[in-house]
Amino acid sequence: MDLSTLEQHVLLAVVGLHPNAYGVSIADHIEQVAGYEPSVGSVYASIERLEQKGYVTTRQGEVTAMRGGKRKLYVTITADGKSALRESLHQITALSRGLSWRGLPA
Amino acid sequence: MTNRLSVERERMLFEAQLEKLLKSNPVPREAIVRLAHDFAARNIEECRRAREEGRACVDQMELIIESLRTCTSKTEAASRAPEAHRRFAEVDRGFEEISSEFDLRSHLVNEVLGLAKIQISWLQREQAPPRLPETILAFVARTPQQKNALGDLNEKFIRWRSKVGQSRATIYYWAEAVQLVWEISRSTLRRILHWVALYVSLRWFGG
Repeated sequence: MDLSTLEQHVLLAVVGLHPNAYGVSIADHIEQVAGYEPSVGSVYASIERLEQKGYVTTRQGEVTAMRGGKRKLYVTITADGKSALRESLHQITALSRGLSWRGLPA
Repeated sequence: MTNRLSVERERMLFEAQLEKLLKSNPVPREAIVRLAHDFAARNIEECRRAREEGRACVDQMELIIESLRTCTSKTEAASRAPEAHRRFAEVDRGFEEISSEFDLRSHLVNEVLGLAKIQISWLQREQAPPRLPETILAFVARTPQQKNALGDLNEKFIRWRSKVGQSRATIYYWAEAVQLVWEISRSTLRRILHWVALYVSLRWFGG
């Protein structure tokens, strides 16, 4: 499936945070689990691309004081998104199965 | 559905009026407070009316149940049941509409008051993110989704400020804002470049 690494991470975060996945919580989740913090711009761009592919849907959330009067954009994975993610994870598992790490640079 | 639309319209009207006030120089803080107060007061009044109507619905439901309870025979109950069922469903539908209106309006009041509070506190500018990147972002952001991304940035700014202080938070904000502007304008730029390339190739190779 045509998923970049960040898109894959965003989709996994969306699944993990359901139903509270929005830009900042997705970035936080990725930081906690994967150890790097994606920027707001890259998370936003990934969400937009995933939405165009039909892998996620978005809905407007509530206004909070911290956001300066802007709404949250909650993201939910679609059935297509779920199968694309499964397929992509399956590919990685299949590719890594039986790999021999011996003899490779330390 | 009608109620939902009218509540949504009210919210949009409030946001439009607030935006208009925010554009004036100097921004009239009292006018923002008054605007929020009027909106909240009107909607709280509507909530009260909805609550009264909801109570009336519950009373009617109780009367319908009572009319079945007072039946002396099974035949009488069976004859009254279809009509009671129809009326109960009707009242229940009304009740659902009223309670959904109540929820929507009370949510709107919270939102409106929150929004006014935020704008007023941000007018003081002590704790707000830098204005220039915010203005640029507000200018390039066209869709509601893009405006939401600006909200994400604001939320992060508050966090950075508490962690590393105002000046470093401002630098982080600038860095993220530039990246966000790039992400937002990239697709538009790509589209423009595509059309420019098409035009140029047609002019050069089209004869």
